[in-house]
Amino acid sequence: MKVLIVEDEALLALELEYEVEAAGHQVIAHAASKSVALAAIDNNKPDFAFVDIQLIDGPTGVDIGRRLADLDIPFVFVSGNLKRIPEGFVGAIGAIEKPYTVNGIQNALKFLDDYVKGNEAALPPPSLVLSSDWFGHA
Amino acid sequence: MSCVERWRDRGETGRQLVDYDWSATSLGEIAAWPSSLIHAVDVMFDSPIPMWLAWGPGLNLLYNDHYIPLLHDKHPDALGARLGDVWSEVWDVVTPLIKGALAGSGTHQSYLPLVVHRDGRDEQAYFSFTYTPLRDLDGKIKGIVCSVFEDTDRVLAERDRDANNRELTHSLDAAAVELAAQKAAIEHQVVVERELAHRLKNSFAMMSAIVTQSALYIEKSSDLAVAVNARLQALSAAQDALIASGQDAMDLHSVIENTLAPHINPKSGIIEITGPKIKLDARRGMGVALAVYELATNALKHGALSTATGKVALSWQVDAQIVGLRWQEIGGPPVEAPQRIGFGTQLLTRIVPVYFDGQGMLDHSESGVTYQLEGRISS
Repeated sequence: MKVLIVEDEALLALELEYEVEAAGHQVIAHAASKSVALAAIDNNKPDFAFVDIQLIDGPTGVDIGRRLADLDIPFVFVSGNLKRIPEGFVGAIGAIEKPYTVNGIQNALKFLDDYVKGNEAALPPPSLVLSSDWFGHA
Repeated sequence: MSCVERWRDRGETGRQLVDYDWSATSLGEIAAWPSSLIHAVDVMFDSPIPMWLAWGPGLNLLYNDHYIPLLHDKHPDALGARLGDVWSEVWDVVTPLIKGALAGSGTHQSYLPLVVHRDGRDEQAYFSFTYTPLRDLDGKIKGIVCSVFEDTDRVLAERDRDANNRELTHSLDAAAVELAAQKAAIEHQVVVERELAHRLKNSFAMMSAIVTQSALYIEKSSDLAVAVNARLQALSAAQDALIASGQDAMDLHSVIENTLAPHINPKSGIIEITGPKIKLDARRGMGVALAVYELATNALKHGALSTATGKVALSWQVDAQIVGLRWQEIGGPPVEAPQRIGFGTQLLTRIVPVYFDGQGMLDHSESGVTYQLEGRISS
């Protein structure tokens, strides 16, 4: 998968990038703000995205999620506070709560990879909180 | 029954009236009083409220027992005396009213303020009263009859009540202001706590990332523990600077000194620190702490600070909201570029610069390591 990472904490972005690449995927861009993220979406056409809610320009992760949903690009929110995610997850598959473990990210990546490939039999790992809407799609 | 016999039974003032020597006044002996006066005195004694009447050219005063409390120490001398002498202190004020009544126009006053002289001192008093003309059988006005209440106690009570009400209103207003301030403080507290919780979670996430990232580059677990510990200490030092500032901003000097303190004696002079006083937000402060820590430990292990002659110049300047921070090692051993990129290098070139929305350049030139960090001083 070509993966976009939207995360304003560079340390976490780096860690996520390492895990994504270790799982055999390619990180095509890293964004810490809404404008950079929207440009990366348009220019790089990612297959999947991790989106933090709180970025350097405020809680703009929600807007980025809406844009991804409009383009039918699957994504998950990554947030320190899942309560900040609007009801319905604005089209996200689900959310991963920070701080996450290496295991949690690896399991979530495996599930998400299966999901993007259309493998609906996969079971979501406990590290991934699924959106209630997602069950409707499955 | 003669009027004298009747009046003798009308209390203190009745007895005093019949015993009084009226022959010395313009009224003359009671036996010679006109029936209109006798009739008026009967009305006065029959009245359940304070009443007086004044008769004759001298307006000599007669009154019932109910009137005694209003006279205070003017009683008992007031009986038979001229009205103008008894109330000389207020005579200027009431003269027009007296003249009016004598001319046939009665008057009614409510809460009339009068400064009266009683019990040896001047006293602000209030009275409600009527003056009604008294006529003889020929219809000629010969005197005045007055029904009167003293309102002083009631006025003072009302004034007290008004003052209390005002005070109460002020207290309520003050309480409302205080309540609003407390409400605002609580709301602020909630925001601060939410921010604190967010920052705490982020700190854990950063620590977690430091542990896993450090583990990628260091194989020996004892070395890993030392490296992770030291990096967490750098974060902790930055946190100290943040707490000391008491706000979401930290002094750059303090951040650097706190970070270096566990490793280098700041008085040794081997690191020369120069730069203007500037404040950084939490993210940038943490970033500087991580960067300075990585540079210092590296310098102590392999760089300028691993020899007695080596030194470091750490300086910064700010221009148009862009801060440029420079770490320059001099006098150390010849520098060799590292074989592979470690987590320290990642921090300096990829992570910390992001906090400043800028760039970090690490140069291993032979004369000494230099690191240049450039970026926005605030968001």
